[in-house]
Amino acid sequence: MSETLERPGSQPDETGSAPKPPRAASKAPKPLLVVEKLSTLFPVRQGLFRAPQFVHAVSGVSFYVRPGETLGLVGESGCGKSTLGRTVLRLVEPTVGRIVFDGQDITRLSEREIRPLRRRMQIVFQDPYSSLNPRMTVREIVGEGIAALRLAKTRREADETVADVLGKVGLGAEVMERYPHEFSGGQRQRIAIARALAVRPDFIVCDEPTSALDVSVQAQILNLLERLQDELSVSYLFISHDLRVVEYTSHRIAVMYLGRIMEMGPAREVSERRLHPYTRALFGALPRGIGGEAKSKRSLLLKGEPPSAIELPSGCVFHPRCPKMEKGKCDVDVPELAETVPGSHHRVACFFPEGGTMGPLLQEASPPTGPSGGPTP
Amino acid sequence: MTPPAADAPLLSVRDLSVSFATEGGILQAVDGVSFDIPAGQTLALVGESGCGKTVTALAIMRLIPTPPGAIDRGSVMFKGQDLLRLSEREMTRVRGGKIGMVFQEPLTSLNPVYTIGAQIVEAIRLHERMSRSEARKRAEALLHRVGFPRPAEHLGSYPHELSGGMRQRVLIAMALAASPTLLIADEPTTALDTTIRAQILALLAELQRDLGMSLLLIAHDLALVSEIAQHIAVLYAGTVVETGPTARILEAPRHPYTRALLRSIPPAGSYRTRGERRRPLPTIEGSLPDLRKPPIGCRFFERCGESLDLCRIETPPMFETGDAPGAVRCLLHAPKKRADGGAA
Repeated sequence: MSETLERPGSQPDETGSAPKPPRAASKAPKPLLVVEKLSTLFPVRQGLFRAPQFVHAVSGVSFYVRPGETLGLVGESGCGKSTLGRTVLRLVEPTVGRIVFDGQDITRLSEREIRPLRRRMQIVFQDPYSSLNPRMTVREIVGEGIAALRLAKTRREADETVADVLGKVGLGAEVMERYPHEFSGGQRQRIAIARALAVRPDFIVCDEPTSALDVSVQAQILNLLERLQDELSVSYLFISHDLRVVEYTSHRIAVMYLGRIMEMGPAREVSERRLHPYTRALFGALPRGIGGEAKSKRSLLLKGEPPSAIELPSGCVFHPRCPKMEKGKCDVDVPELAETVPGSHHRVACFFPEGGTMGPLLQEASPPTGPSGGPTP
Repeated sequence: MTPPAADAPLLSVRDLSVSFATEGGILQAVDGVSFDIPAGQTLALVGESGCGKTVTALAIMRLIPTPPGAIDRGSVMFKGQDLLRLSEREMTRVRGGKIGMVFQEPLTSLNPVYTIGAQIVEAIRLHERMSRSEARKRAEALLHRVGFPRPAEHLGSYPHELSGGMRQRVLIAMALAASPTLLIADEPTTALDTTIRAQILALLAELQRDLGMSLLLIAHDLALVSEIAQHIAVLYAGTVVETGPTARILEAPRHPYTRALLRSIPPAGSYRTRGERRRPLPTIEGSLPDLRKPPIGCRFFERCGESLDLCRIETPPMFETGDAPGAVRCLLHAPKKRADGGAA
């Protein structure tokens, strides 16, 4: 069933204007995870006697993830996507906002109170070379969560679970006594996925799970994650800088820039309409060689680089790089992430969103044209 | 637009073979690699990790650490001389002189305790007799050339004060210091973000065109290099398996490996629908052969979906692709005439 056909009003208000609990809709499943106006700030002291400044890693972000769904979170390095993923799992403390997991507000739960929920929320990291302890066997790595959460009564039962979950990720039980260095990158990532799956979670944060892998291995891991989701109905928050991968793996996409969500909606909608100028720039930066994107649809080559997350630009955080910036508006007011068409679930935080079928903006990004614009100091 | 001399390659690599002594035996990292880079054009050397693309670049520059590495045979003809026969002293003049280099990680390639101005000036004065102030002027011009809006101010910056994209621009400026005719860029955009990557690629393409340089671009991402390369050579397990013009390789790949590689890229326009299962992405099963004991026949045999019995025992030579430009190392494309040696 297509997302755009779902009834309006069945979702929690993602702009977070009123923190009302999600209403159960007739067809669309109740969200498993609801995040409301979440902000994560890190203090940076620049001198002993100076007041600390703050890195605004995540600023007022709201979204939801439904059971069995993949929400893709895409953005460039430093945009706060990894911090957001960790904050949602309470691995990083949120500064303000609310995280509701399966109806329970977990924002301020103590470590002891949250422990039972840890089983249900897992994470797979980017680098399969550093995320596995080199001195532990596969049996110990995958079985660690089972032991810590006392999910098995006997050692034999624990081993059976480990063997079973290794089978699910395409590894045989014979690898149990081996160490991480004996495996290739792709196999290690399978072990990391098995470790996450061993405790039967409902929700997994996949933080750049294929970024360290070759293309042909990436395809295997993407297939594996998708098959596991189809079979186990687990939800993913899929974090990546690679738009091509996010577009392919996700039911819905959220585009992040400097700690804020710029655009969010069903993957097809976001990918084909690209309402936010930043989304347009991200897609425009994709190589056109494969997938045969028509040139006219290609968009601008973005000037400059993202500013510092300590001194955020006024108004819309994207305005210093935005080709559609209007003085007096974009550099003053902050655009809300709001639905363009009520009920479409396609939200954009921009005062001047694209029409959807409009042509290229400003510069064509075909490489031989002009200088790419200098980096801003 | 491009110089017409496509028949006279600027760089011609023939039968290049590089091995490393490892605990498990001799590892043949590069085995009989041949390709040409036409003057004023870009050749992309593409392949997955372990295919030998970086080793090939290092061998061209004679930067293979010896021991454990060794260039066993082959020739690298550059402007009429074989780089592999030059003395170390002559080679020092070529490196950073007529051939510039840019590496993947812009942070580790710059010295953190010197300003970028000092480092560019050093690169210039290494190859050209020039006073310090002249060199500084030239450094400023180079920074401007690679897209710094206020180069004079940035000459005094330290590497850590710059972003990854800006550092990569500095390295490109340094590589251009002695006006090279060939620029070798090893994964120049891999460590960079999507929008910055597009900027750097655009810059490389522009420099290559405006300065009439040749560019040897080394990358793992076929789609990415297709943006700026005229020719592609695909490497697998230390051998070139397919060469040809970019458009031909992408639109009509001939080698089963190239085909499988292209198919495993997530296609645009394929979206998930809730409650619906879709066909998995095609993958390449198995793993690279052990290059300490390379197989006798085709190196892709074990993973190939289209192999013949003959492929296990017969080492395939390069065959011309016949109706289309390029060459392919696959017995499926055998008959007619052989084109061993590989032409880009």
